[in-house]
Amino acid sequence: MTDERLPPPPVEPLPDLTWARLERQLWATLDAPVVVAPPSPRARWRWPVAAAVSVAAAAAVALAWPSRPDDGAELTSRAPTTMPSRVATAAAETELSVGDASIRLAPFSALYLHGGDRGVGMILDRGQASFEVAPRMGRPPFVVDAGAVRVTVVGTGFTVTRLGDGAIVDVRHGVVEVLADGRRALVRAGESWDAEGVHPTVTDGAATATAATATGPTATGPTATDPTGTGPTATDPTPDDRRRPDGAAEPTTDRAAGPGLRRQGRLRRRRRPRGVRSCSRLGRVSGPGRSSGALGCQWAVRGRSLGLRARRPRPRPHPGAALPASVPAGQQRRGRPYVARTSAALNLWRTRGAPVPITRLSGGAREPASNVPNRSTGVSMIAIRILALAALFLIAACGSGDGNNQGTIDAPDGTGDGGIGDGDGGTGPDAGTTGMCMAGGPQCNNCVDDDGDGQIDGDDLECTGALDNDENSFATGIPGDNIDQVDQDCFFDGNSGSGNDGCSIHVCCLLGAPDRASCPFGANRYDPAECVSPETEACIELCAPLAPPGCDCFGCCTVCDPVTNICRDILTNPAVAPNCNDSNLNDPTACPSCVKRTDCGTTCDPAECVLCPGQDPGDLPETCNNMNECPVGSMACGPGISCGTGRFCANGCCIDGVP
Amino acid sequence: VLALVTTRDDDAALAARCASGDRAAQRDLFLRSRTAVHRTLFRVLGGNQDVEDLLQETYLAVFRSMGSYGGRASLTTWCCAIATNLALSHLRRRRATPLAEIEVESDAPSADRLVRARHAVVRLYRALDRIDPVQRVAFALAVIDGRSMAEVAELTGASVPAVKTQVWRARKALDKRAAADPLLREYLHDLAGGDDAEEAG
Repeated sequence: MTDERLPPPPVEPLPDLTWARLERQLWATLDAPVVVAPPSPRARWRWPVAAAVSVAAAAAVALAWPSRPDDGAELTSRAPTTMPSRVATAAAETELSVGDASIRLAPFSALYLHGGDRGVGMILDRGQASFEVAPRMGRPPFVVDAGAVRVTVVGTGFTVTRLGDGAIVDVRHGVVEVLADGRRALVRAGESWDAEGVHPTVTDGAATATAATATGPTATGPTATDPTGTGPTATDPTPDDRRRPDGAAEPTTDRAAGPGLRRQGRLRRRRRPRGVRSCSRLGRVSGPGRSSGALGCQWAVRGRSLGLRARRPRPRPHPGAALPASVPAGQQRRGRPYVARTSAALNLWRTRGAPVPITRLSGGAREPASNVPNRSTGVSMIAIRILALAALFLIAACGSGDGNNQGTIDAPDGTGDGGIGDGDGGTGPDAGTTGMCMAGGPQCNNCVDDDGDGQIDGDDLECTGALDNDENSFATGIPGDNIDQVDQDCFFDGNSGSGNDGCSIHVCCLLGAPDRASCPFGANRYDPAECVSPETEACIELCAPLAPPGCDCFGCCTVCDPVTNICRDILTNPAVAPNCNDSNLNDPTACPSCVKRTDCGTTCDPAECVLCPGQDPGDLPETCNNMNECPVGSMACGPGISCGTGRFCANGCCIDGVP
Repeated sequence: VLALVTTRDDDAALAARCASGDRAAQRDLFLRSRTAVHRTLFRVLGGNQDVEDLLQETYLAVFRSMGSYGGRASLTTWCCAIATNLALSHLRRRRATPLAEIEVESDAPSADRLVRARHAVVRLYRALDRIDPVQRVAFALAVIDGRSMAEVAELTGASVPAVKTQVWRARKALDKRAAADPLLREYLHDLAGGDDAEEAG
């Protein structure tokens, strides 16, 4: 007994899935040709309903989608007993494509996927999702349900943020129709819809300004319109929902404290937890790097030692589609959040019609939705190719889980002769130039954790670019590269020699040797006075765009130990430091200190949310909201955000590929 | 929560469209009213068990009898009234089924209170299973859900005095059962206090 009054029983809401099923069955029943004879009052509904349900069940088996033009928004399933896939995210967002629609699901969000080859339906259970939907061109509309809000799409890009039983809809381009509370509204590009109506979307610039001054880069966009901080949290007290991303207006203490209290995070020791955050109802991961082979299964994995293809979260919001904002600080994971998933071959909807592959967007590249073939005719050859490619991905990923290189690349030996012999990008020119990793490409662009350190391709601090064929060391594995100890050229252009890049400097300038006596390499040619000479315009123009954040043009990089987060400026050139790798970054003998050239290269600064090599968003100050920024002139990249043709995603930022 | 308020003219127009078989209008009505209908059923039944079936039956009845909508109440209230009648029929034909115990997992300081409240709710609906369904419906809507007697009368099709009588009888029957159940007695007291306070206000 207490003095406190017991609260009245809360009304437990029905899941969206139940509502969708109920509505689906309702329309099917109403459409069924049922003859209702005047029954006795007691049996009034029994037999008609039973008959109608039977007819509906038969009809539902035969129909995946109603094709009536005015009825395309229905979520009628071909098989009502076949449950849809559920995709749930943890601290990292994830990206998937369904048919010709690309979906980016924000952290701590959940999405049900309905449909078959005759249409697509989504239910945003919680959180936020951004959609890119190809023009329907007469096909059934693409429908997103979020509570009592229904968004019908003809072909557009938009974001839906779940707020309690309602939602906020932001349209980037195209037009959507929003149905809520019995009212319809057309929302056009640059507009947002919420329960109060349609209004202009907060611009990206304004969002950035807000982020810079208040709650971080994600505290904008649709989430900023929930100043009460209530939304779903107020209506559903489950732990997951408390972590919904719509608490933007609730800055944490650290964020409220402002930049002055930013954590530098340099000497903090951290652990990288492992574990499965979520999986669809169809399966569950049994352990890191192991696939349950579940259909429709997708999981977010905490930790690095994951043999599957893993990618970092999108480092910053897509323009016009602000990421969900604050997550309570105590609920954020430490370390780098990863999202891993089965290959497309395993991500099939369990429909009884043609399977719809849920394909991952490898390497952050995304084919324009308009280029995706119309799926209304069933499984196309493109889908088959995707499945085959995904199977290759899976095989390669599983093979790498134990640290062995069982892919199609020669095992790295650190001597510069590994694998691809011509240094032209390996198995195909696209591997090094499109920004999309592919099986068989160079080790730093093959979608595989070749050295088993949990870091893949551009996320591996030992990768310098798309052509880098040695993920296990700072060497590039490109014949003819990393061979000159004394005369240093552009470290990232795939060859030794300054003839083609205009960059030339004595190594002892980089090592900071004050005089010849202290210069360990080519001392007789060393003149400290020449170290002050700036790099040539050609060098800056050609090489600076190739350098990842934190590195100057000559491979002097601010590298942070992934375990200790201790950062040092070290010369990563294997010709000078052949034994330097990610296990001895703090050893000045193996990894000699260097003096960065300030006029050629790119800086990193965790205090400004720009990651240094070896860091992940979890190393950034709280004000960065677990997302990194990129130096001026460089765009952020990650899952779903491609750097575009000819560029490479290095640690969350786009750098140029070797021309 | 989306507002459910709409004008009677809108309701009449929407009802006419629904009656003509306009699926878009039917969907509008479904989305507009489903929360209130679900709440009504949840209160009467004490949980979501059987609610989905009753929701299905409710909206089938709504759309098939749309022509009988007279406009005296709002469409949402009309839907809730149909749901109430169906729930009443459901209670009459079903046998009392004890509700499953609800586990509350929480480390919050108020977890104990929440657990007790949940258990009290379970006991309350177990007790309601043993009284007349008409009284149960009236009590659930008036006392548990906090609706006014007039609203309950509108939903059940009874007069306000009749509703008051049903609620009084339900409370009397529950008090009798709560004599040996301190938790239920406490909960009924709390509910009565809230109810009284509301009526006083």
